[in-house]
Amino acid sequence: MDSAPEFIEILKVLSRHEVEFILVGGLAAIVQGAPVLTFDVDIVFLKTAENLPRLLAALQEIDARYLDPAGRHIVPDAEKLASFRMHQLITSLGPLDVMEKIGTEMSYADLVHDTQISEVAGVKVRVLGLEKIILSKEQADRDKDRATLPLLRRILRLKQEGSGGE
Amino acid sequence: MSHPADVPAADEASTESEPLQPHVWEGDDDHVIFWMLSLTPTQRVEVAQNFVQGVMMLRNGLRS
Repeated sequence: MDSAPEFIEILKVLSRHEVEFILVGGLAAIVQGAPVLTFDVDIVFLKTAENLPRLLAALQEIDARYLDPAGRHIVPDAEKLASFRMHQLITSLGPLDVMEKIGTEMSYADLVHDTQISEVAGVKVRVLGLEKIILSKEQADRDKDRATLPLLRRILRLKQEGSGGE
Repeated sequence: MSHPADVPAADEASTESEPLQPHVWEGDDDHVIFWMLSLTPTQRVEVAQNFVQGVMMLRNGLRS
């Protein structure tokens, strides 16, 4: 990865293709007000017959290909989107992780009730709530997830106390 | 190297000072948190975008 990811442009492409997705991970935490660093966009997509072609069209527009240590050029297609649960992609706009589920088996349907619609650069984006972001990072339990948990919990507490400026 | 009797050398000062305290979020970090929360979602993403671009510029500069 030699150029910075274009967060807003990725969201615009997904929106333009009417992809139903939830923004999760580090960028979701940033939208929720967390001063954290991320280098990719993570989304959970709705796995339906209507949504998969939209997602595929969006991925094709940004020349998505799988991150492959062997350097092979493998592009997502309808079959892969329908069968694989995790798509770690490199695109012309930067890294994009497309997931069917996060944490311990939390799908779009499980998460959608804990989301909010935020407007980012004119794009309405469904963003995972901070509580569920924390839960997903607790369940993922990687070093980088554990490192941000104290900060995310503090922000959640500030928001719940009404002192978070929102 | 000599130094005035009432000014400890750096290594002496470090052994005599208070032990390091564990980091707590309820400190200076609150300024950053409140500032970030005062921004709109668009502005928050732009902050992240600019920061990542800076990191990538540094990284690419160090490579070349």
